[in-house]
Amino acid sequence: MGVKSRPMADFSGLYGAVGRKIRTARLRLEPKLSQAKLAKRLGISRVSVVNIEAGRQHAPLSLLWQIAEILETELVLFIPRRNELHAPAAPVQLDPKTIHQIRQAAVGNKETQQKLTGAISKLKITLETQPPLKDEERHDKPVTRSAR
Amino acid sequence: MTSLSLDQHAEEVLRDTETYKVPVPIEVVAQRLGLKTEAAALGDKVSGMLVVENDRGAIGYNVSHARVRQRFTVAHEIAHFKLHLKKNRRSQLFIDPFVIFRRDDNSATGNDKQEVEANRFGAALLMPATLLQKEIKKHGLDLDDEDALSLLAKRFRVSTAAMTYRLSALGLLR
Repeated sequence: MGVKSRPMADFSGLYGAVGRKIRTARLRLEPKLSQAKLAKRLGISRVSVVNIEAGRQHAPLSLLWQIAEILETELVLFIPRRNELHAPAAPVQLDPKTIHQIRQAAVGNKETQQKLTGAISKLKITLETQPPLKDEERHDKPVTRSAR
Repeated sequence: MTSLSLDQHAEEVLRDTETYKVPVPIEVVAQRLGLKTEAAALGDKVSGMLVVENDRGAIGYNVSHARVRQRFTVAHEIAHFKLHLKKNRRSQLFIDPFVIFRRDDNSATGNDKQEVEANRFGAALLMPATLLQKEIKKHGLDLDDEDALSLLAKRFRVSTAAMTYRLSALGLLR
């Protein structure tokens, strides 16, 4: 009707993305926390944890909150940005200087060189798909020490 | 930068990002500085990297490293972001080779100097001096006791090697 249509994110991958982030955070714990142990602490079944991580079960906010607490992270880190729901577009072209740095770091090891190229391209895509920071969100402004 | 001002600067970063607590949630620090963090397959020669494009940065850390090592890597890359960015460059890249903890960081030329500084700043982010002293006092820890050192390392989610190194840098170890 009168509503202007605007580009929408594809939400089909939303819970899958949340699930993957939960899984990553769980496996990052030291010592690692099993799906069974996480389930026990949440008072839900292990299958539920499996399904939440797989994106098949849609956990309510209160449960996500508890998961974040147990996994020693923050709820906000489970929530993907709109751009993360899209598959990354075309591969990036690395500049000669970057390629030189990769060669140096790989010290002649072809496999390392390939891995680094892949990882850097991925990080560059991540940066390209992020919206620019609003001024009030920025924390990276240089601190003027003498003014304090 | 002197160690003292590095320590102060690190504490300021933690306070500005409201992450001044034990253990320091280092990924939250990164996120609040506008830095993305991602685990990445980097092979066995590289710990981590920082990619910066137009003031925005993303950190990649080695997916196969232990969690405590990954935390150290993220802190190290944050240090590069805060201390070593060159002005007016659109695109910058730091690649950090995997090095075993060395007690002597006497190599101090060019890039090495930056690396040493990034290690010190990273350690100050993960183990702020004031919070360390508080924890030691709170638990009545005897730093001559190896168990106390590993307990402290666990509390701060760092390796015992990193904790030992930090405590001696602060002059808290005999």
